[in-house]
Amino acid sequence: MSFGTGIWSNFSKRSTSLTVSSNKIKQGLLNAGLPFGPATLRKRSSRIKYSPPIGLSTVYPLAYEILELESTQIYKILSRQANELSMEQKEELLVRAEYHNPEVVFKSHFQTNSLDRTQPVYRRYLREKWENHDKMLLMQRLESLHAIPDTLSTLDPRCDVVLRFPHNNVHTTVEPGQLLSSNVTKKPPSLEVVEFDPIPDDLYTVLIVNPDTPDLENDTFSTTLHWALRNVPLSSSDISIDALKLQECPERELVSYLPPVPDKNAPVNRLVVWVFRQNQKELTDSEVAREFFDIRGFVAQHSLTAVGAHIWRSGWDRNVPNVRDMYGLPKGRVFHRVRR
Amino acid sequence: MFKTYSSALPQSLSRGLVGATRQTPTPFIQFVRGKRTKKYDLSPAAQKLITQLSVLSASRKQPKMLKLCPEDFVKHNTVQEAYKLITRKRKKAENEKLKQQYESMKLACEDLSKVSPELFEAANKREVSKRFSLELRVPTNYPPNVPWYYDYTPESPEDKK
Repeated sequence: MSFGTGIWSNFSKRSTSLTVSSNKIKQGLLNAGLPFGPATLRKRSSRIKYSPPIGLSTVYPLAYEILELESTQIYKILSRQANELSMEQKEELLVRAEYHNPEVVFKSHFQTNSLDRTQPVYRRYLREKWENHDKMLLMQRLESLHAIPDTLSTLDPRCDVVLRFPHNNVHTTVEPGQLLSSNVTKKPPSLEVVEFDPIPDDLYTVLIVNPDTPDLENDTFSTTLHWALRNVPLSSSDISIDALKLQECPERELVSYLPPVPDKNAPVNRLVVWVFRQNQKELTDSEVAREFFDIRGFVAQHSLTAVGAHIWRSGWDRNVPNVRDMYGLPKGRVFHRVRR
Repeated sequence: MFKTYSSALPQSLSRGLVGATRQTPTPFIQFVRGKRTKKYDLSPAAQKLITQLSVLSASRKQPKMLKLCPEDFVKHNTVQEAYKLITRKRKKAENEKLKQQYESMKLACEDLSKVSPELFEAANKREVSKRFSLELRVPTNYPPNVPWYYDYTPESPEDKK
């Protein structure tokens, strides 16, 4: 067995997303040496200067052969015991069969933007990347800003929630806990819910709540519902919740988007995005109060499962009156050190 | 630096003069410009090297990272994974073999205890202050080049003296 003859070059049963599309890079990975030189290096000078490590070209074919043989055996097990294996076992075997495939490794390290999420290997690589940084960051921000337990008691994150605001045509993602200006948050965000489990397609609920609305009568703070979406279908190929998807089916928007308009001299508001799985049940509730929203009651009533969250903060800035005008909101309050 | 002056020494004479050259009854240390006062155990060349290394930051003293292009990085990882796989399989086979050996020894002992308990007792008799029995050969990887000394005669006690 050599390059191009084994299971990793056979695409009759395997997906073509398991191979590198660029021919030069592919030839570099499927040859002992680099026939086109280091094609991934951008600068011509660095391509000329580059010398591959000594001995790698002799060892690499042997290593490739060993790993490919292992993969062949795993695929044999999969085909023989297809009916006996559970879904998780199958997923695990599929991951193991492709986890060390050089082309897959290359794609999941260096071409992360265009990974095929329907493939278990890529989902595994994405999950590892997420667990090593983004998941920990999210939990740290949720806990240090006390979104947990001020909104819901706790969270076992199972999917990555990517938040974007469509301001100024700049599509940068929001890091959890970031302080955003009112200009950024004036229009509803778009979300990406990246699931890592091999779950069947499900319906999702999204809530954006603000637990920092001043409640002067009771001398406390109350929770306001800023946005509520329900029955949003998501799958491993279709992960985004954006304006286009909501336009198709307007009844998915249970409560329309209200931008954060904090009052002057009030503390910085936390806006917590919660993403729930509906467990295949449709949500038919039509009456939800925006003010004094009881998120725990809502979650319990509809038996939702929290799978992901995000958080950002909004404070008063000079653009807040403009945003209030945009949405026809009354004039904001100004708080003072001594209550008037 | 020590500044121990003898009471007899006039202050005007102190500069550039070492106490040892003067004939005073008690030794004393005196400041001399440009005189090396630290004691070094190492040779000046070795000391110079150490000083030079201490100036360099820790990251400069690390071995250089391999500068690999992405393709070679993936290839390098592939080789490492293949090596890990081979070692894992070999380790597993070795452990399996040892387990089987142990099982068969245990089985033999059980058989012996059923067939003749006296022999079993004798085989498992604990000898005080002897970790290994005399008959036990020291375990080695390979058999010795000369397996047995047929003409061996023990040394007589007279030869020892």
